[in-house]
Amino acid sequence: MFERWTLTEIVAVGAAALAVAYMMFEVSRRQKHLREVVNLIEGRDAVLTRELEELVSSGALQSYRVSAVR
Amino acid sequence: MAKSRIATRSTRSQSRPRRGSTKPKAAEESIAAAASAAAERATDAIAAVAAVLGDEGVAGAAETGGGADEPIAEGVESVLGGGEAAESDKSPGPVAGASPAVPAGPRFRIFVIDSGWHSVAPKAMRENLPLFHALTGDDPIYVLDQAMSVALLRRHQELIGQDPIICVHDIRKFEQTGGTDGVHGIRMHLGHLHTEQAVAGAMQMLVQFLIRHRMADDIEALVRTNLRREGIAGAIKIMAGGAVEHEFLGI
Repeated sequence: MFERWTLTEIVAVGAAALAVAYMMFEVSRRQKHLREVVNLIEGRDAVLTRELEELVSSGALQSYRVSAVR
Repeated sequence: MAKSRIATRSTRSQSRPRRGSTKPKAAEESIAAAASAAAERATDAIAAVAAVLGDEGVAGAAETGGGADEPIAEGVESVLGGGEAAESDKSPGPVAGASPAVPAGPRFRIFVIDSGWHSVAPKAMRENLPLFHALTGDDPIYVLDQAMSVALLRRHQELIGQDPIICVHDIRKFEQTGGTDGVHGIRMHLGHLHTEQAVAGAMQMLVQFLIRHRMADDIEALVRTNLRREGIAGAIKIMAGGAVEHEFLGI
């Protein structure tokens, strides 16, 4: 099959394959980055969630005020 | 003939202001009537917005001890007040239409965990937090101080180095499930971002998501599609991403 291909065709197909591979790699890298930054709070995070909610219900945490921080 | 032509021209030129003088009076009257009607509509719209903000302010004051939303309310009133005379025909419609869509109480509870590392992300997060707070509006934000954040991170060591962290708890999910089973919120680890633009972009994406999907039932699917860009649709969105995505994802 490949004996019929000219050098130009081989180079063109190789370049196209490289471009597609790079695009897939880049999308995969960005999706991985997004997964690192954006997380879903699930059942395994229940302890942390409960602790944060208890801080609010106990009154240890007050709602954020712009003037207080500024 | 020439004198008579000049005479007729002069009489025409004299008569024009007379005819014109009646039209401006009618036009002035119609403009005045339209302006008064527009002013009434504008004041109604401002009253509606003030009522909504007043309710939120009362709700915020009940939680915080008062005074939390004053800058936001002042800002909104000043913006509405500045445009009441000129563009009042456009402003009442959307405001009056938007008021029924406002939910009764907060949908999300937002926590900020920041142990105070000397890096770009905490600084950028703190600088953008007032605007983030202003945009989230009704949803309360709780910022843990350094001692609380450190104590929490010592108990949850897997989160060390990933702060500042913005945790968004879905209050409706708590009410539906009666606990913390399943997906019940979003957590954003800003510690992975290394530029101010990236942090601002991430916060913009989050606040846009929270505002846009405030009434949504299934937050999980929306997070996977819109924030995490999962699947083929997400890959296409990444490739065709806008300015925010480029800032955010430009590692």
